[in-house]
Amino acid sequence: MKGLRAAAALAAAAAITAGATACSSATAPSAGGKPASDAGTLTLGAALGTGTFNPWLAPDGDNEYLQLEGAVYDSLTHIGPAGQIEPGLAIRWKFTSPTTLMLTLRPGVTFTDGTPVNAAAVKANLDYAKTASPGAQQNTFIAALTTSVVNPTTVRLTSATPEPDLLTDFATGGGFIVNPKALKDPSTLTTMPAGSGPYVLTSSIPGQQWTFTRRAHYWDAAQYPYGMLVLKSYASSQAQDDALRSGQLDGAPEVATLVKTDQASGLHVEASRPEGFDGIWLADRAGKDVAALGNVKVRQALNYALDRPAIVKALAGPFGLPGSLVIPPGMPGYSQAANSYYSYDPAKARRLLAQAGYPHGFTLPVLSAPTADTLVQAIAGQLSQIGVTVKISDHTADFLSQAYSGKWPAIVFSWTPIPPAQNMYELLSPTGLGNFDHSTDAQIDSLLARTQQTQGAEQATALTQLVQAVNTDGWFLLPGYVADLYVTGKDTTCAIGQRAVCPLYSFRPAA
Amino acid sequence: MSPILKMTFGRLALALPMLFAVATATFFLQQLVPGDPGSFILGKDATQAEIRQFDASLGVNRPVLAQYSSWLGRAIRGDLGTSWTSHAPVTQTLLAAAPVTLSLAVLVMIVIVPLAVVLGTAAALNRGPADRLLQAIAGFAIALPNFWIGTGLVLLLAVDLRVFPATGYTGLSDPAQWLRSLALPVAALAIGPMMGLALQVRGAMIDVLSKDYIRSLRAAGLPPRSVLFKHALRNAMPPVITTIGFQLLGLLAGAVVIEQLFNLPGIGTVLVTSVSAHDVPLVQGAVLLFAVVVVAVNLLTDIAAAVANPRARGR
Repeated sequence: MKGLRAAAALAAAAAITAGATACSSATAPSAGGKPASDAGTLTLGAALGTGTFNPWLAPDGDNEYLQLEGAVYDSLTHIGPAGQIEPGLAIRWKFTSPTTLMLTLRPGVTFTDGTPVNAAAVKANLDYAKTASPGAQQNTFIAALTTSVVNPTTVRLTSATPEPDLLTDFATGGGFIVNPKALKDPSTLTTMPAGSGPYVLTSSIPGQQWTFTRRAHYWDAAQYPYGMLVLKSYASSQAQDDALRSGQLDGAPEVATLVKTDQASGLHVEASRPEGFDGIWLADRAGKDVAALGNVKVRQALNYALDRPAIVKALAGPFGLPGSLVIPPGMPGYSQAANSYYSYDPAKARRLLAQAGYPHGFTLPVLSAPTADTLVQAIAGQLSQIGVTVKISDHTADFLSQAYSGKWPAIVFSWTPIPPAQNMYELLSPTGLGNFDHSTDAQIDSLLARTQQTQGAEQATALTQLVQAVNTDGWFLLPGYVADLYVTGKDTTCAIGQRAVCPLYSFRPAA
Repeated sequence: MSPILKMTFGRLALALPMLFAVATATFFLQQLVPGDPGSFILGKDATQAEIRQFDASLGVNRPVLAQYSSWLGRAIRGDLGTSWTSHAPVTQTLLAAAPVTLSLAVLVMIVIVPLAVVLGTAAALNRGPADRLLQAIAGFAIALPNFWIGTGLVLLLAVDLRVFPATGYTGLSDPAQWLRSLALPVAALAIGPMMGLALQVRGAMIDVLSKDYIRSLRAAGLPPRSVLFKHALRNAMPPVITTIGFQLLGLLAGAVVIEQLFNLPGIGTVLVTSVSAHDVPLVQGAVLLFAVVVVAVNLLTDIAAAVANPRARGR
């Protein structure tokens, strides 16, 4: 789940730490239901594929589908521009224990057919989500939840283990509430929504375009100034950019390589804080297939050979930050000292290789995917300067099975380490999703255990030590962190905050 | 039975085993794609048990021959299965996309055939600077990739001048917008094939115009227009018609790229997205549809050539 979970997770964790008597609650409901003046039509582009109005079957996490689902459904919570949790359908919340969350729902909200949005509806959704789509993140985190109806506006959620990120998940694909009547035959939701959201679907060409009109008397109408919303699906980022620059679209996600042209055309660019990273996992640290990788000096040499500022500038321009740590700046676990450990020093890299017995370098096979080839080739070009030959093998359909096969000494991967503690466990633990060869390391495993058993400042310290140890031991070749980008037309603004795309409620006509 | 009808039935009889071969080859080639659909479609968060359950629900864990026989049985009845990603019937998805690609192909043909005939004939009749200019332009236009032409047209006419939309497709219910939405894709697809066809027409016309019977017709005092249109052009047409058939098939391949460039929801886009998504039923359906179109175009080309040239009917 994308960046925004950071602040929210920390806030929730702090509340849990403070104990059951303290409570984390929302400040006030959002702006209210006063109908806004009609700002016309808002046309947005997104990679929506064939689209679905079943939010529990939509691609998981913080992505463009949040605009499609957010048009017709209300989510339990919202995320503010600074990452703070804000009220949605839930107007108050309280962790009564580390494993129990009480939600108070907004009274008087109805689905488009008049059915009330109440505690029973929330329970019906969360129960349905458990079996809706195997593997999807929004269903996985709900799988361990037990939902109880306390009264029509109060829901109690209990989990076996602490789930401090629930309130964030409820704002990012895991909290859209569908009319329970539609859940009796969810197949209808593929093309026909059944929600309580700000817009109603008026026409659609599945896989191509969806047109919505604003609901009369919506409870939060002031946040949606546009009377009509059109979402268009794009498979090609170049075609989407052409549409933006020709004025066909008012907004769309963007890739870094096209942003410069957009800025020259006078379009607005919104960038999140750089948090995600792509890099190479040096999996064969035992030296099983590539003996050189078994030597820590070799792994450090590879890291010293990377000119991170140059790579980040080439690939992400001003929307990236160089760095070698698996935690980006601003997160618990990041330290500037650790991040400057590998200053660009090819001479030192050659010396380390020579000390390790590889003065003429070696060959490093890397499992890659076509989408990552630009990055891997940039890294390969710099490693060639110290005599290391990178042999790139591209896989697409079977990339994951190849990655988990244990046959590859180095594997390209992409990660967003938020929230940090949970993601470090998923990345590094022997059973973690990112630990492709299920490797163990006494020191790392011990530090990892501490990050899971502690909270607050103690957890932050453990994270810092863990990240530093992984960095020094040369587990990865990471060039840096990249931002998510969103471009709007000259007449439109939006706020991406720490999201992957601008939420629908953040769009406004430009002043 | 007329020779043309006889030839048509003969071609159709050959088409059926060919379609069967294409369908079979497509099915078995898909089996060679590495990885299982469950792990690809469900992603990295899915457990092995979930992946196995998903694969079982798709039936891909059954023996390949059993999968093939059930797929073929359904395909013969017109049921190409259900998309693994959108859960929509494959036939429905293809039928929704077909009008877009068909619109492109028909409009391109409407543009290129008359223009190529006029340009090629004019060049054949005026073997001077105009002819050399046509050949130079044609050589240049044929060498340009259609996506490059398309990108240039978008930048100039959509982004800068905003005369045409950069992307998207409007249905035939609004004919003016339909034409507008397809203007740039058609231009991008048409320029190269049109110049190639013009060269073919030029060559065929030069060849026919040099024949003895044309000189005889002229000597007999037939009006030049009659010699040109009734005799020369008609006799030059058979190789041109064959080339048109090839151009039309080439357009299908070009449409895959152009539909991506202009975000047109046609068969090419369906094919590309289904391949990317590992959506095997949709890939099989799209490939089979392409095969049907190839067979149909070849049949129509043969019929048209036979109508234009009686000697071709017995071949």
